[in-house]
Amino acid sequence: MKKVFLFGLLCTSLAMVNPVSAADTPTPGQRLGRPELQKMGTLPSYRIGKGVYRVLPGAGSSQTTLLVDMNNVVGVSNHEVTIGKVSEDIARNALRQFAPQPLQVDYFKNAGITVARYADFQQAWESYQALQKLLPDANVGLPLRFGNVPH
Amino acid sequence: MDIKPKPIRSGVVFLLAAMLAACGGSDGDSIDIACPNTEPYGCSTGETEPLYTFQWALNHADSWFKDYPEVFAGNLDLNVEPVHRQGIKGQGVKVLVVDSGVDLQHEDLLPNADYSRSWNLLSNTNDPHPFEDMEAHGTGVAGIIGAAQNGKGVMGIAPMASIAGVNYIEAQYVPNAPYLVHGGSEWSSQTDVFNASYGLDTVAMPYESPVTDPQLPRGLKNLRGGKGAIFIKAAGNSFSEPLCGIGLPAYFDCSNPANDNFTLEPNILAVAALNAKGVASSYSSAGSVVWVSGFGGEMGRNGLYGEGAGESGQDGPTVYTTDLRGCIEGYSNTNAPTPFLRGQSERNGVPDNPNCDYMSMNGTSSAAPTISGVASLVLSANPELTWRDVREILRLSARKVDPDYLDRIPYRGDKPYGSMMDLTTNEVVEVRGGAKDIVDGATLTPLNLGWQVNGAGLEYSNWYGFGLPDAERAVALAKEYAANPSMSRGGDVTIPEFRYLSYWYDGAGADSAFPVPADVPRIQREFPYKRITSLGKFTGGEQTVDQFQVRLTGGNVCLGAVGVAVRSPSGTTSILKMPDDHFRAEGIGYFVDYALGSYAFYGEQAAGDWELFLIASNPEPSKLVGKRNGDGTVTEFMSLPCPNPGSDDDDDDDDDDDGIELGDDAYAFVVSARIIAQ
Repeated sequence: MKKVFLFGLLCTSLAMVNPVSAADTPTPGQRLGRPELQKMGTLPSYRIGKGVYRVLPGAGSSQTTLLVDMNNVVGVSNHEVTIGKVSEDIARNALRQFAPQPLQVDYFKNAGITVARYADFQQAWESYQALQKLLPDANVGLPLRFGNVPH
Repeated sequence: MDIKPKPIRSGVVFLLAAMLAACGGSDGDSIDIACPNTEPYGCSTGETEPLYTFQWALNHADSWFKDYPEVFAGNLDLNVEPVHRQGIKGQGVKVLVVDSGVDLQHEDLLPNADYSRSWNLLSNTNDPHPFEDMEAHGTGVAGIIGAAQNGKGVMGIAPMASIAGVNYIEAQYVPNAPYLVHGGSEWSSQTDVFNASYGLDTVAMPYESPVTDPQLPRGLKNLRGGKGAIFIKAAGNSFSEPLCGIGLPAYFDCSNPANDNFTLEPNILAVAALNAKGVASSYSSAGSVVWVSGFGGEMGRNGLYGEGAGESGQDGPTVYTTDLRGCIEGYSNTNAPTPFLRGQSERNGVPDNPNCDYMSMNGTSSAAPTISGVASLVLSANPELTWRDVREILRLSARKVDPDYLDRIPYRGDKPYGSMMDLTTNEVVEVRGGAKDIVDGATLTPLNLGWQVNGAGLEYSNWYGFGLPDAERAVALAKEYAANPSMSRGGDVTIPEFRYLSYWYDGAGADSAFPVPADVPRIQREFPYKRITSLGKFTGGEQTVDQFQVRLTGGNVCLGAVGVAVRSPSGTTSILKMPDDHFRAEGIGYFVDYALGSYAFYGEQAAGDWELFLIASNPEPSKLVGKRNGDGTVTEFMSLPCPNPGSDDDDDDDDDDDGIELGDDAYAFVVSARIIAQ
């Protein structure tokens, strides 16, 4: 059935933190219950900034990885590392100085952001760690997205 | 119905338009003066469009709905007709509808469609039609801004603006999508006005952290040759969500627009929604980052065209616009709630919507494009304006609405919005409150502060921001800026680093749970739930305030029981977050660099002491809450214990593998703040 015209409101609600059943595929913005997470076993955790995020096994795609934050809300990584506040040249030079190498590097001039994309989340996180040390004056990020819905 | 445009002869356009507006009239087609707009519809208003009578946001006084006072009152609209009579209709302005995709082949969009600036992130073509979801949301948004004036259907607020679209919502996880959409591509970098009727206001996201780089929205300020793009964002629809209680009255926003990090950026303008009575739509999210209000209407579920009041007394018309073509796709379809949306209504024997190509739509999703439309008219009148100019013009033109809303009583409620909440019980009590009640040690807190005049003499409301822009006044201001370029403000606002105020903690390991500089004062204390407590003072410098921001980090702290208020040296008080909000439903207990903002102090001098207050409710009382499902039903559950980091019973000793070393009897709470200066 087609969505009715109140979709904007309904979708907003969908993004509310939703405990999901084990049969559901986690989607960004949902909150997983502890039973679901316990069934997944011990999850590899990564500290990013002040937060700690755990990777959901087998979730996502070849280009994305699903994680949960400390409240078990699902986010997604595109295996991207961002480098801001330094020039494109400096960012690209830094990226050449360690392995593994990114699959792709793009520069977005208006935002002054260099985006390096890696084969998987582990590689992206290692690059994020290395770049923080190599470029202490840069804004190095490992973006996670928790979803946008129509309002 | 095929109404032909009437010739307009306009000359002393502005003065006459102003006179007509003052008279409340909308029949300016008899002006005997030359129209500067030589396009076919020249200086005619939307009366040329068959569905214009339903577009109450453009002409309230003559609307078809005027005979339904239960849902239609106040005679407030955007006052666009005086601008249209001047022939100013958005010419030369490039709008990008960042949404679910846009059906640019629609008869009312095609005349303004710009495929060269459009993109489909899934098909990698320049046709932004929804690719997978067949979702009409973006097509509706596009029509509100820029549906053409062509004798068909509806008319946009800026009916000659160039309209492009991108299906970002259905493709937001495509690699590079956020960068491409926000000016990082050839097609998006040309944008003058972005409309973003989407967001996520229910997750406590980190701000200025490695996982959420604010450079994405800040980069928008480099567009338009450095003048900055205008980015209009929907505030959210979470005021009365069941996550804050099933069947309970909503006295304040269940969520917070600031939860969406974008709204914390001064170049992102968050828009709340008004209904056809000129007061807040029942769903419209309220918060201190709202800049202005537009029109979103109510639910529109009853009557032929949404004129029915419904049982809740909250219903009423929504915003008429374009839909995905046909009765199979889109919000107008054979299963829709009103005859109009089913393509079955007619007037004088003429079907209104025989092909289901038009719809009505609500939400702050609809309110935002009404303001994008006004911004397009402003830029059309003066393309040299910077993003700061347009933001300021919208504010300066805004009208105070619903002045006495603290006296009103919410649906299902029995006390006015201006009442207080007992922080020991979380119950609303029969005591009126105000800013003066926010003091250290108090156990009652005001729920809403209403309209307040700040130290710069500006009136601000968490519900309405600075109010409802007036298009005629806004365009007049744009012309004043053109005549006197020294009025224009280029450059950027000043965004300093956050400064730490305090680190509260208790229990083993809590004093080092979060990394902060060594000189940040650490105080060991029990977390002060059930009362208001001063968080400390913050000294401002010799600056003019743009926005005040607070950032919180906490472990084993019930975020849903945490509220924050700030008092400026001028004596203005703003509530940045209310306690007992949606975070309580699932016991959210961890938050990292979670930020709040307030424009209530806009224009004040920053120098002096600012005091921050924690307004902490009782985290323990359980209540019946609910989450909406995709089919509109609500799944009910009892709110979970708070804090509740593991999401279920957290009766262990930190074996929840959340990565933070805090036992159940320990907590840490870190507060920082800053002043973004003009």
